[in-house]
Amino acid sequence: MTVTLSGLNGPQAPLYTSAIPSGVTLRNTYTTTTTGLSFPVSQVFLIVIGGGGGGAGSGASGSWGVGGGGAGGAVFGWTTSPTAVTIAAGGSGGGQNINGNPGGFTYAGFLVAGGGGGGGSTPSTNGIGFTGGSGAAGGGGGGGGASTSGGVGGSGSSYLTGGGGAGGNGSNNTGSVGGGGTSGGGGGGGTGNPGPAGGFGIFAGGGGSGNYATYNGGTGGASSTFSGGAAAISGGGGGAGYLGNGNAASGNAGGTGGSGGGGGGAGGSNSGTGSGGSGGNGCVLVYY
Amino acid sequence: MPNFAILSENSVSQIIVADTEEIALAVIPKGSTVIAYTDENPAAIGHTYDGTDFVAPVVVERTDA
Repeated sequence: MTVTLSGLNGPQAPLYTSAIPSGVTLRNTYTTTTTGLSFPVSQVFLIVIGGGGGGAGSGASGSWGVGGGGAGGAVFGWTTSPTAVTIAAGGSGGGQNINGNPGGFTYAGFLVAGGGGGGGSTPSTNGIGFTGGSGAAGGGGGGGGASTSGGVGGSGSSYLTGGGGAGGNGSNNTGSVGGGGTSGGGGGGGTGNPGPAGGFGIFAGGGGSGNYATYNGGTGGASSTFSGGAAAISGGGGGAGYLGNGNAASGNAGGTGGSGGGGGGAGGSNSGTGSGGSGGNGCVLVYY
Repeated sequence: MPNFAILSENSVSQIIVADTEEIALAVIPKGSTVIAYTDENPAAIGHTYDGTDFVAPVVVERTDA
């Protein structure tokens, strides 16, 4: 499998060849913390994905667009066979004028993957939109929130084999889409229609931005395996995870991120307020 | 599926998914504690726990745009 990594700036988008070595088979997929593991081999190949970041909650009715959550980090490699795996929870979405929260860390063997950053909201009075949260250990950054001045998107994290995309910047005009990477960044809040989408991630996509009035939020970013969630008026769609589609927004409520690290979609403010969607939980895939 | 916050003193350092509290307790660092949380009272990394609720750090709004 070869995937073109779209959404990155540069003269030539890099090509990514599947991380999974030839000759190994997927044996187990863990989506909850599990202890007492044993395997018939001393080393296994793992894909380890952290929790997605939560989308920001909107401001009051008719307020500015806000940022989606970044995707959870994705790290892969050979390690001593684990006796336990610790699975991250996705970050919760924010309420009114509240930022989304970062996802947790997933541990397996010697590998760890961090969470996506939470999306940035908008202040309760005009000013500077909140900054998106930074990704941790390979995670994508959350999108910044809009206001009379836009908040900056959170930084993506580079860690081992993971490279998270930056969150899109918020703006008082057209916000920025989330950056691409192994894990996508969240879309930044703005006032365009539709709102900026979450970034594509090879393993998990970022959450879409929330919007205002009757404008659509941003769609969730896709992964190489699943689709991002659809936007609504005016919530953002959840980003795709490695194990499942992102969930669609429902009115002002942002969609939850897909299983396997998808970022949460941000809330919208059409004739009311909307909470951000939670990020998707992490996972561990075991090959040998 | 239940979610658990891992606390270092009264600060949330990690959030995980586990079927039971016993499983969560088996994977936490020494000296940490585990508290289950819900969608209505969500925990997040960096929040503090006051014995009942998870409390977010204060975010300062900037109006000097």
